[in-house]
Amino acid sequence: MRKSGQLIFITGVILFILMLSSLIMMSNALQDSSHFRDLYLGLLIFNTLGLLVLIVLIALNLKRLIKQLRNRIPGARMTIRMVSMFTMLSVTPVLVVYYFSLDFLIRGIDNWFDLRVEQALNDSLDLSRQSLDIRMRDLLRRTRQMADELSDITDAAIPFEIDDMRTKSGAKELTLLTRQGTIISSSADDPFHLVPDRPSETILLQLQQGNNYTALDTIRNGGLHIRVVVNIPSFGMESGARIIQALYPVSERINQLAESVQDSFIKYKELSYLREQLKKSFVIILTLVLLFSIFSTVWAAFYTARRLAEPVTNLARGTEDVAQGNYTTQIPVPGNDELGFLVASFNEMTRKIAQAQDAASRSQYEAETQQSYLEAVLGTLSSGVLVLDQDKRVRTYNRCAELILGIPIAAHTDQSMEEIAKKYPSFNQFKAGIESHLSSTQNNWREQIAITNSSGRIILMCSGTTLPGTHNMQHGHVIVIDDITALIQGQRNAAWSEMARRLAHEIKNPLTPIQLATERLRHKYLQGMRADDTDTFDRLTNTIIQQVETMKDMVNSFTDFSSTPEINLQMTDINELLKEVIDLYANLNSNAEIIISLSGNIPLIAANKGRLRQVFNNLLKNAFDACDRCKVFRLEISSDCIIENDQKYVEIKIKDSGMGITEDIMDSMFDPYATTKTKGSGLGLAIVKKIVEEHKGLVMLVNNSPSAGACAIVRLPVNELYDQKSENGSVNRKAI
Amino acid sequence: MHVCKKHNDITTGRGFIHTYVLVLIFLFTHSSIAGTNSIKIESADGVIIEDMYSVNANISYQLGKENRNALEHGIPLEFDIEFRIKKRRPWMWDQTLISRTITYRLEHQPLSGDYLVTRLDNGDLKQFQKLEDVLVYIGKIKNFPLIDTATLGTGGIFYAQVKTHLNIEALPAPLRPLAYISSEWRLSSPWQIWMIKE
Repeated sequence: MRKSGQLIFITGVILFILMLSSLIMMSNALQDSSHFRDLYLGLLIFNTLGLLVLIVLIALNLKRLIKQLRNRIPGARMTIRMVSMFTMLSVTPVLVVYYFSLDFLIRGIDNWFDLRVEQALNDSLDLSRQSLDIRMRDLLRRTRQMADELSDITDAAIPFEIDDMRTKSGAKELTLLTRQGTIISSSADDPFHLVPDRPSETILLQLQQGNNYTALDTIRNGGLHIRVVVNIPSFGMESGARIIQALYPVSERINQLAESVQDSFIKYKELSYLREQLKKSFVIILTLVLLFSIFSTVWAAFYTARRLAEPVTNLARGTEDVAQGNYTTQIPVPGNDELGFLVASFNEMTRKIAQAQDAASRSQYEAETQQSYLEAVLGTLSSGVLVLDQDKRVRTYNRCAELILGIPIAAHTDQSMEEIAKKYPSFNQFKAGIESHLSSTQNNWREQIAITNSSGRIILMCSGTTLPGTHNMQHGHVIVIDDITALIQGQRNAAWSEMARRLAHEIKNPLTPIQLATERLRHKYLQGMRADDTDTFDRLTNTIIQQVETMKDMVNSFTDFSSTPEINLQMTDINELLKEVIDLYANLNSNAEIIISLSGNIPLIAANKGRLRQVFNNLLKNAFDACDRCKVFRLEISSDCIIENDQKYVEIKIKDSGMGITEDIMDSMFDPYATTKTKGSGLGLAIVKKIVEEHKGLVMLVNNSPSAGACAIVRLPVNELYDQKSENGSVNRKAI
Repeated sequence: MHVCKKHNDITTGRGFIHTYVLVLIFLFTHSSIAGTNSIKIESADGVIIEDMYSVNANISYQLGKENRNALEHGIPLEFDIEFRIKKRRPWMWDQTLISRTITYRLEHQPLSGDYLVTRLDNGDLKQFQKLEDVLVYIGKIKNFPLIDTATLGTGGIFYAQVKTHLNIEALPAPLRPLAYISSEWRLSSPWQIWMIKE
């Protein structure tokens, strides 16, 4: 761009110099034809073409400027203003000078011509003619005398006389001719002048008509001469009609004066004739000079304005770039002037802004990296982490917190706890548990909270810490949440198992001797007793034996509960297993309404059929027992495949129409000896829970709403990583 | 009644058009008469003189009022008579074997009132009292040698051409722009061509 601009500038300067030179040459050619005479028209055409080139250049500049103006390119308006100003400032004085120059020129040319000068020239010419006429008349008379003398001389004698006659007459050349123009004899003062100057046919014709000829002639290489041609009188001589021509030189001085007068007269007449053309030519040159000056100025104005406006345009563009966030913009510094200083300052400013932006970007990147690092660390934690700001809005959380609380916290970031609690009851329970600590001034706190989510009732251990506030941020809270449900349940199960094992051991030992002793008593004394005592003795001993058997069964149940047999998993169709168990209870009560709704898309799961059968058996038995005391006997048994927290489950629901479960025992329903029934060991649900947990599943008991009764929900995980059934029907567990 | 109608015709648009056309015709014919400036080559042929192919030409010069006026006011007029002999070539432009020019310079001498004719190529000077005599003089070209006949002896088609014109570039500079655009000053004859050898 810069190179092309320089090229245009150099071309313009060359064109300017050439046009200026040609205008000077044209002016010289017009004033003095000896200079550039032959180039005049070429120069005129060249200048006209040069002006056309300048017009084209200006038009192109104007078009470009208008386009820039329409496109609202910065600097266009400024350039137009500067071009207009330069043009006005330069064109106005040039036009004034042109007007007065034109006037002076025309007046000056008119002043060249004066009537008195013209009259003087005419008079000079007349004077010269008169002077020469006198001389010519004298020479005519002298030539006539020679003609008279020659009339008596024959042609043959003429050569002997003619030289003498020429010398006497003072003629330069004397020639005797016939009237037809044939030369008879000639004499010249120049011996090398061999061919005499022959009179023209017109002169001969004039002589043939009897007239003499006297005229001022210009002879080649001889200047002005007086030519006199007269007829030679003939007096009956043998010779034909003859004529004599004499060429008399004009004296050097008269020759010079006459030529001077003639040249001046010719020059004046020429100028007088060319007067209007001269005016037109000078006007053309002056107009060319005017147009040349104006167009050059306008073009130079465009060039200068563009150069002056360029830094401002660049600054405007740079400012726009900076406004759009491009801080790498650097503008070429135009020079060492104030504008250059301004541009340099702008460059320095953008450089510093760019550096600051880089620093900010780096800081942001580092912050984001730290945030990612923190999120990664939090993501790997087995505890849930929740960070609240001073307004109790959720700022940070980890995936584990979502899983524990059972709500999608990601969708509620920056929302307050109140807003989230309105949507999720489990979070409301969580909020209620920790709210008092958040409001207190205590920096560190711990609280165990029980909430119920989609997985059932869970126990959370929450630890809270108050974050220190910064200069622009008030304090917040970090809450670490641990799901200790399994831990507590495990501890409780372990305690119950230990107690059951010891109880079984302590009870089982005395039972066998009791049973044996009772049987010995019957064997020894029953037959020897009186009839009325026999019945009593038999009844009492049978009662002891039956109760001992019952206690043995109870002890076996305790043993089963406390033991942890190795589980043998098989690919099991839950629907088939359910149908088998339901069939056992189908005809148990004719009033029972059993609704079975088993899904068709239940996948096979790895399970121990026998133990699962015990689970369903216990649950159905409980349901039948619950309905026995009610008017409406309705059971709904359903199975489905659900996905929760990216885990696929087979869900079995057994819903009864009984009295439901009261809130006071809801938490301990799966504990041993937690029962509302008058009979039974109280281990049924505890064993159910134990078996389900052995299958990595979960079991819940919830009251139906709004209808009466309770619902047992069993969820068994579908593990995709189990191999298909092996040949013997068992499955091998892969390492997870 | 008939006279009245004729009178009305002139004043009406139709009559005006008639008058306008008549005026135009008059001006055209008048200008044609007034501007009888022309140059015509009446005849041109060659003749062999002493093994030289020479040219004889008869040219008719008719100067217009403006040309005569300029001459009377001391403006010299130059007439160039160009002679060329060319050889025809197939597939190419014709070859110019020779090109010669005779230039006559016409001047008016106010002292004697005569016209001076100078042949610039050899310096011959002639003086005439009448301009018509001058024009007759420069219109007669006699035995102007052009080329050795030996050159023409080779095979091929040869032809000669002659043309004459007023040299505008010889006019004073102020007059030249006008001369280029004015028909008064564009005096030129077309090329007159004759075959030398076919």
